[in-house]
Amino acid sequence: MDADLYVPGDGWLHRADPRVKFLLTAVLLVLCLVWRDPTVILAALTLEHVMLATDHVPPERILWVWKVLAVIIALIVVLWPVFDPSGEHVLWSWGWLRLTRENLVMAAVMGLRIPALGFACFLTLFTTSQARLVRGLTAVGVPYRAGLTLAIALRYIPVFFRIVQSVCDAQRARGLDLGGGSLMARGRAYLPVLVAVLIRAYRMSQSVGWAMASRGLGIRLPHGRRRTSRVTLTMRPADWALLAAIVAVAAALVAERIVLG
Amino acid sequence: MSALIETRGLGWAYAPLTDGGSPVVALSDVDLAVEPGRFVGVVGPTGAGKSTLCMALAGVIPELADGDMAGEVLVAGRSTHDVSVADLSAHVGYVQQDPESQLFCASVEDELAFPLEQRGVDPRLIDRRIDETLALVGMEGMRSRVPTSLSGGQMQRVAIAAALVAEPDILVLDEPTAALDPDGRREVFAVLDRLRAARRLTVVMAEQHTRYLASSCDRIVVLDGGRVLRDADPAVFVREAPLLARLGVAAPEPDPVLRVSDTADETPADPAIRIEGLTHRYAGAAPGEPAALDDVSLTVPRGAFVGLVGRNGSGKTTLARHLNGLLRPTAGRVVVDGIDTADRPVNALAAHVGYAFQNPDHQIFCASTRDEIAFGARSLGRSEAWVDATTERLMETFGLTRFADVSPATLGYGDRRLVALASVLAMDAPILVLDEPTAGLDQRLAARLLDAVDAANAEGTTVVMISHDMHAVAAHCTHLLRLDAGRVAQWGELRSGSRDASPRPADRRETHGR
Repeated sequence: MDADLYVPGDGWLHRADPRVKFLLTAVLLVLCLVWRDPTVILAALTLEHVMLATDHVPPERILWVWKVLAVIIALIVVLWPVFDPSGEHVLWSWGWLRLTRENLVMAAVMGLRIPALGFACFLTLFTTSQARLVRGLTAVGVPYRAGLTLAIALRYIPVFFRIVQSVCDAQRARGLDLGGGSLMARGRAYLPVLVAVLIRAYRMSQSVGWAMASRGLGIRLPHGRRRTSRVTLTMRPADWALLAAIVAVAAALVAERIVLG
Repeated sequence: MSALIETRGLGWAYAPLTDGGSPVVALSDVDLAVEPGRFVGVVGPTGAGKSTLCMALAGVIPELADGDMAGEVLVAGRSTHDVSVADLSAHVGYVQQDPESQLFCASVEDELAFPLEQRGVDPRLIDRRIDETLALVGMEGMRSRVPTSLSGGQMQRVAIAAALVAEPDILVLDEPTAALDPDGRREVFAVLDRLRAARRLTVVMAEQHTRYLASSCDRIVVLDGGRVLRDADPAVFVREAPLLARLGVAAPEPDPVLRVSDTADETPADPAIRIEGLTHRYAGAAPGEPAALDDVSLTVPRGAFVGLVGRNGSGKTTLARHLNGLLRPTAGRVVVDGIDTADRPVNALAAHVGYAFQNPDHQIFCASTRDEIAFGARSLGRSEAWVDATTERLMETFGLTRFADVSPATLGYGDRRLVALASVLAMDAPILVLDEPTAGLDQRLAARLLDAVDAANAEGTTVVMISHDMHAVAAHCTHLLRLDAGRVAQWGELRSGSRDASPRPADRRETHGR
């Protein structure tokens, strides 16, 4: 990961108002957390991919998300039946380990839920520039400093990965073996990497803080004057339409859940 | 004329970085007065307090840094004790050394918009101010670029633009060209000259590269050990040349032109490094983009000291990283010390190739300087007695013995670089690769470091040194390799021939300046 999360572009999601995208992300998050129905989660996941594809986010970025989440997905799918031996239809059992149709379905649901939640966030993160993100967050009531801190933290994720890479390289060049051995041995081998990364990250964050203050973050303004923003947000007809669609789908799903219990 | 900036008995001691450590005194009794419109250059050895002085003028000291301040700093008549850094930014723009950690926005325009937004400037005016300011630093058309995709010189110009966009009357620059190649350095100074011609601006600039200071400044402040040693006109470079040389301040001279003889490609029987048709393309590079290295072939004889030069982005570090297997050839072959690097892990090659990285903070992690220097040698399985003896010897050479039990991460920048280099020298590999080992060091420290490399070279170690310092290359190297856009532009034995022991590289410039 050596690029910014934001993917420069001009697709419909890029043009969409960030506030609407926040709602989109929030609805998808709630949906995937509350519903345990595989079809709903699968539908959400499909919808998310369709949205990213029609916005022309490159397939490599979508693949990257899957790669990042792969380990977690695999762990959950494998461990779910171990911790949840419930279910009527036993397919296979060995001692306390029971594989049932029910717990296998749940394992799949849980496995799919992770990417569905992940992509819900990346819908916004891939398509919203730093400036619009900060502006959107403040517009929905997040304090300016909190929004700014979040946006800048996102900006430094790739920088952080680069530092980790350089530190690994520097230690390997000194003969440190980061490749093999037991998990314990590898953990110990990574200790120097961790320490060096933390020292570097600390120095860097200090420097960023100074830079922000010296550019006037928190400068006292004369009475009646307020902080402005270069980026202005306006709800275009397309944004209202998207907003209406999100609300309609959410309402339909809630209604269905209430009616069908 | 009354002073715009005034320091009265300014002193600063950094709070100890570790429990039980002692505070580090960085400045004592600094009295300066700077009139409006002046360009003041601040020079002095590494660790003299130049950065600290800049921080004090920007208000970072005392508000944001940990430590104890004595005396006071008055900027436009107000004491920095009473004014926050943000409020002070109405008068002072501050540019730091490291471009990456001071450009925190995702685009150039946001970087410039930030100070204006904080001041509540009308959004319709913001756009115009961004364009005007970018034009001033020669970065028109770069508005929507991601800062990290720019060259070092461009990044620093953006940082200067961001510091100036809200029109402060003072610009404080802390070694803004330390990470830049000669072209980037020239760009930064050209911008400063242009700015000062356009409007009245007071500039205080700490800098190692004195060449442009001598012609641009109207005053030079020499710091040493946190005290003002001289406060004079730029003629001080001539008048006090011996003093400045003793302090490690470089003389303001143009770079020497380096020439090579074309006899270098006689193939020795057992070369240290053999590179055949090396091409490297980074994964994820756009299809039309030229290769980072394009069909590079050369043979480095054992015992050579190669200066690897070229602009930022010309492929120097990419080439160097092939020498210890950190990168693998896309096409071609790299053989070091008789081993093809294609199928050896980096840590296995470490016994053959010692590699010192540009940023010492990427490798420093041990709890004591002694352990840090010994770490690489221990990883390679050298005997404990040998490691101990070598570590002690290197600490002695580099004047680090007094820090033997101190955490190296808490040392000053110059000392951290020395520790990092010593730790690579301790590995005693037959080939040594150094990525800009003297960047940000004063001449005296640089000479000490390069003398140690010379000593290893004299005992047969082959050295490849990436450098932007042509004086150092002329003084220490036997061979020159200049890369341009991934191709070999110049390769061969340096015509000035053998090195000599002259401590002033400039004295032995045999070729003319540019």
